[in-house]
Amino acid sequence: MKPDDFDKLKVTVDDLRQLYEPPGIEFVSSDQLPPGTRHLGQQRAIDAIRMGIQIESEGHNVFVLGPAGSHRHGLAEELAREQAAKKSPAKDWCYTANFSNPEKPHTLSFPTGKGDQFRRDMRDLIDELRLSIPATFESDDYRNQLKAVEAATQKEVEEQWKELEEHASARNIGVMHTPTGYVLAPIKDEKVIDEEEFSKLPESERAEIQKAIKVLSEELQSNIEHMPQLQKKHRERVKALNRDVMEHAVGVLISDLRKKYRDMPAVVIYLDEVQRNIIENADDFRSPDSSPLPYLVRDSSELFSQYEVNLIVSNKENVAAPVIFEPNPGYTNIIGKVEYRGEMGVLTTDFRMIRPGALLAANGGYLILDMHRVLSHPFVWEALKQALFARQVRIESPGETYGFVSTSTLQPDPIPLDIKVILVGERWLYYLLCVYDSEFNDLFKIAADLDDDLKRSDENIEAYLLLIADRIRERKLLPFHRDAMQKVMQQRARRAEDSERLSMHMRSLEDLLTQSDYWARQRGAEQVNASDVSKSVDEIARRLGRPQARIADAIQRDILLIDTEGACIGQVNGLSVVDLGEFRFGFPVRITATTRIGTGEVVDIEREVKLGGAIHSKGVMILAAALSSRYASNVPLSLHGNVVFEQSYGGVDGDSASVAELCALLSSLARIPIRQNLAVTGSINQLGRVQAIGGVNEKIEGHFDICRERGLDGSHGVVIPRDNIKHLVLREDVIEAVKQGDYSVFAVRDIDEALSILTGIEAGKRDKKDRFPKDSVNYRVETQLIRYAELRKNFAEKPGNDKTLR
Amino acid sequence: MTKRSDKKPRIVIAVTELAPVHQLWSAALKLLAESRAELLAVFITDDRWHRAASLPFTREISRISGMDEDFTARRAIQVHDEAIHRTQIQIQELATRADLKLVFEVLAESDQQRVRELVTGSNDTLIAPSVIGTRPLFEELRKLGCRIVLIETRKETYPGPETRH
Repeated sequence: MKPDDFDKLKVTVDDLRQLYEPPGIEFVSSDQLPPGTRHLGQQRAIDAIRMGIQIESEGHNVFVLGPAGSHRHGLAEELAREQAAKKSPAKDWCYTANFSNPEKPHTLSFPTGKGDQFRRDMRDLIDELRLSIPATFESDDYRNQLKAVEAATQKEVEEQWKELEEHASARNIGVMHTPTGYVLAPIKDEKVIDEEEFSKLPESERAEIQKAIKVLSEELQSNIEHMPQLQKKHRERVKALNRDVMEHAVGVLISDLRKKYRDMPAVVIYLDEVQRNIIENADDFRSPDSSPLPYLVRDSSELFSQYEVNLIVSNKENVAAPVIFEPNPGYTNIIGKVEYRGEMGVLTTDFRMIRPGALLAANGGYLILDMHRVLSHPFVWEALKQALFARQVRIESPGETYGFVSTSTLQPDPIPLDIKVILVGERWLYYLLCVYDSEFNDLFKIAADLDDDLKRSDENIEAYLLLIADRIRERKLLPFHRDAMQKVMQQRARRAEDSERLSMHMRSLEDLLTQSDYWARQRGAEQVNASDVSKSVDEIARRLGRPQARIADAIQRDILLIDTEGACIGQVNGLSVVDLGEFRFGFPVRITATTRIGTGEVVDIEREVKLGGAIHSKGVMILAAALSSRYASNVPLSLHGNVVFEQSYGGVDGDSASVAELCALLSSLARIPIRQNLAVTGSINQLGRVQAIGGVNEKIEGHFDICRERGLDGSHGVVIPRDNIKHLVLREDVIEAVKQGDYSVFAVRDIDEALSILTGIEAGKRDKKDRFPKDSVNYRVETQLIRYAELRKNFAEKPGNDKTLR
Repeated sequence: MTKRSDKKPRIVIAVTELAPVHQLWSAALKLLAESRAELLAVFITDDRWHRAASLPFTREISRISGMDEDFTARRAIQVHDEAIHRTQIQIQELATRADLKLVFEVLAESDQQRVRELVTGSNDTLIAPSVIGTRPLFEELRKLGCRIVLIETRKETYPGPETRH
């Protein structure tokens, strides 16, 4: 290529300025556009999600892959709701007391809405029992029966004592009661005989009295020993009476419920258990006596509450299967938990304190979870997998599961699980799980991969405009003028880094619309126009552009050395890009190369000092390979080259500087200066082909800004890979400068084109004799390499030098 | 020792260890409703515990276990004092509940002089268990001409099974 042909490599203004207006749609404002397709360009992911949620077979859960902000949750939820609407609401579930083993509460399931009905029925029953049981025990009928029982027992006691008293009286012995027992003493004239009187009695009488007291003492002791048996007998009689009375009182109330739920055998069995338990514990339901330690007396309301029902899943209000998105997927929020309450310094719990998690809430329907958050919470992923494998939820604390907790707690019956889980996460997370979790693909067989962008076509541009208009309406923003819509579309292409594609990152779109609306409102407008969109974009750059401003300032003050005029051997302006998340910017960097005779090494100084990343090192190695394959292939490569990013004190990665690095090396070898009013970006392969790189827009704009600051004179420009033309979505001021001829964008296919533009000298192509044209860049490079080879050979052949260098 | 301050009528409740206080108290309340008399409770001791304890072979048999042990003079004093204490608490509680002022005194049956000081004439009333009627004390009281109300107290019952009503 001759210098006269350089203009052919310039990118035209038409290539720089892209229009995003489809021919078939006419509108002035966004509010004139009809509703569009809700999930534009995601048909592949939509089909996958639909398939996953429709297949009933085990393991066909769905993983939605896509970046944050791509509306992945909304899409999953919308499709799940669409499918849920075709299904009936799920069952109701409740926990009830297990009277024989309170630590293992039982479950009962009900048709939709019946669970709540049963809970209310049981509450009514408890209210009835609360009144009727004490009333039964207070009734005259019961009292009379109890009195009869007591009288019968008292009669037995009195008969025993009467017999004893008669025996005592017959022997003139009195039975006196002390606070703790009895004293037997001889009586005479209704008075106890004292020692003096006793001593006056005849010997025989004294002996008789003593003997009588001994006999009576034995009889008294026998009576006392018999008393506990009598008391036990009495208690049994009273208990039997209470049971009879309760059986009648409770049976009447429960039989109504039994009839109502006769179609549900499990409920009927539970009601039988309730009746049995109430009757067995009849004494507990009576009003408690006053106690010196009132806090030890069991509250009767607490006794009754054991017949309550803990309705943990109620779908009463639902008309379709549940769709749950749990934003905070901690263990308890997913699996459920058993709560505790403090009672006199001790933590206690029962079946009423079992709380459901999202798995149960979504049982019979769909559960949507953010995978990153699932993995951020301890134990959740394992617990979720266990539940899906076992197809049941067992509510227990993770401490218990892993044996960390030794205190006894509840072990509720597991609840069968019929659920479809939709995980939403980044792509890398999905691929990592595929590789590192062998169970992952067994459970999540369906991957729904969201597209990042949409191909630019008239049809898609129209659909995209409708989508933007929908978002504007949904968010109640000011209508966008046609020009503003164009500007938004341009930004969507820029976000996609491709003028032929449109980004499907919905959050950034919504942010741009919202912020543009803000700026329009700030100026009191009733419509958003293109300047509001531009302002929004500029303000993002201003808010996040502090590092960019600092670098630009350093370049203008010659702290960071960047030449934008003149020419220099072995020195080229490369282009870097910095990614700050929502904002990226580019700026020129000085790349220099030095060469001397050597053994065919090109040293990447960045790599040597461990500031270069692997891809950068790869780029340098490729350029070394390109060098050796292009020039003087019949002599040993006798070069030692050093390449460095000057004034770079942080890490460098990527291969987008490999064209610049090779040009600097060749400039050094050929001793031909490189134009400093140009910057170059692009990667290179071993054959010298220049390949596309990322961040091309930011890189061009970064160089343009520096040149504009110093004054554009028409000589400034940038060299980019030709394959990057389709990625150009440049700022309006850059396009305008190009249009005015103040700035140029050269697009090159290979290193020769790049070299020609940068040096202003033809690079040179080999002729039929395989020789480069004399005075071409390549000719000079090859000549220098041959010279290095000869010098090296001569050097090696001198006595005492290393012969292997030949 | 209580001294009489004026000619205000007096109701004396004579309680013994074997007589239930409640019955006597009920009778006293009825009389108090008729006249604004001052109230005095007298615990009349007897020496049966001491007499029984003086015998070398007397033993106390536990109501709970049926085990027996010597019934000593010391134990007799303890039982006697406990009976007085229990009775005093019981009757004082009844007076407090009825918002009445009550003087409690312990009196030996043989202390005839004190009996004459407590009950002086026809204005005064003595409420006593019927068992007093067989005692020599009763004869002394009759001579004083005071009004005597004898209450037929129920016979001490044997401990039956514990039931709740």
